[in-house]
Amino acid sequence: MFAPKVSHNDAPDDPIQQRHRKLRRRFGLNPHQPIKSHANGAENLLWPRIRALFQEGFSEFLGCMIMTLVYHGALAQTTLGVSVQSAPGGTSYGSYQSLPWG
Amino acid sequence: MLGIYVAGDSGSYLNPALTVSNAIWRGLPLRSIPILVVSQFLGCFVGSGLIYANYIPAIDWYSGDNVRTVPPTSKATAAIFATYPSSFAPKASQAFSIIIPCAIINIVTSALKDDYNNGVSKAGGNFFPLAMFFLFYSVAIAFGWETGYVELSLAQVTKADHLSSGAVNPALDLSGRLMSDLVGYPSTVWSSGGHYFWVRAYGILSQNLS
Repeated sequence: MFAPKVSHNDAPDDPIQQRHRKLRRRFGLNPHQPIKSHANGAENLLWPRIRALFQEGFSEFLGCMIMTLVYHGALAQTTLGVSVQSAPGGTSYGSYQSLPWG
Repeated sequence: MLGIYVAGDSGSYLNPALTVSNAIWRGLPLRSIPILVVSQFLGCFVGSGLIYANYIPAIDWYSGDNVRTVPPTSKATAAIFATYPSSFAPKASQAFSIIIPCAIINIVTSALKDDYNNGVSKAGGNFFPLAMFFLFYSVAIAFGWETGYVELSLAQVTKADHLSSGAVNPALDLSGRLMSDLVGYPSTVWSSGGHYFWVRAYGILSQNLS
């Protein structure tokens, strides 16, 4: 669970750094992307290391999820709330022009 | 717009077509395509699932209990999760409704990311996502009708120095379609509008490869 201390001195013979770079190179990600360091040393734990390894994948996942939530949420509200008289304004809940907020 | 802000660490491609075209034309490593595309599909799939789960009662109220219909029938709700063309639009019109917005977004984003552009385009940086919001807003109000609005979803990149992007987003559309098929919509989600699904696929590909 707890890995040995990750050193950030970019020493070429650091085995953890080497493995990190090798894995990232294998997945086509930039092997020299600097790891985000935390003041409390949390980057030495297992999950932050996985997160650093697949940083791009996770960030695409989250971005796409937020985008989909807002796009499809706005679509759902617009489609289902059409001609609802109790809506503010008396016509509908939302319009198609609210989509690009995602 | 919010998605671009969230995904800044990876360059905010948010679009498989854009990822592939960047790999072909702009030097994104080919080997990084699978991990990026898979995470995009997964993200959109999870997002669609959450939206469906949230709106089950509303869909029941709107179109009747356990009624899940696909356009062009009346009171169709499948359009929430994927795009469907208007019933009057022929194939050529569907194709142009994809390709023209693609071209607009392509040109505008290229201008926005061009550091040698002496106009207002130095508004890149933190305001680039906001500019993308206005771009997609304007494309949505100009080209949204014939082929459905979701197709105008995000196609942008914040880190790569230049782009060639498509207006349409295969991840958002395909995963939404898959999700609506899984949760009980009839399988006509794949064939509605004269297999419009394939028109989208080819439109996106051809635009991004050109």
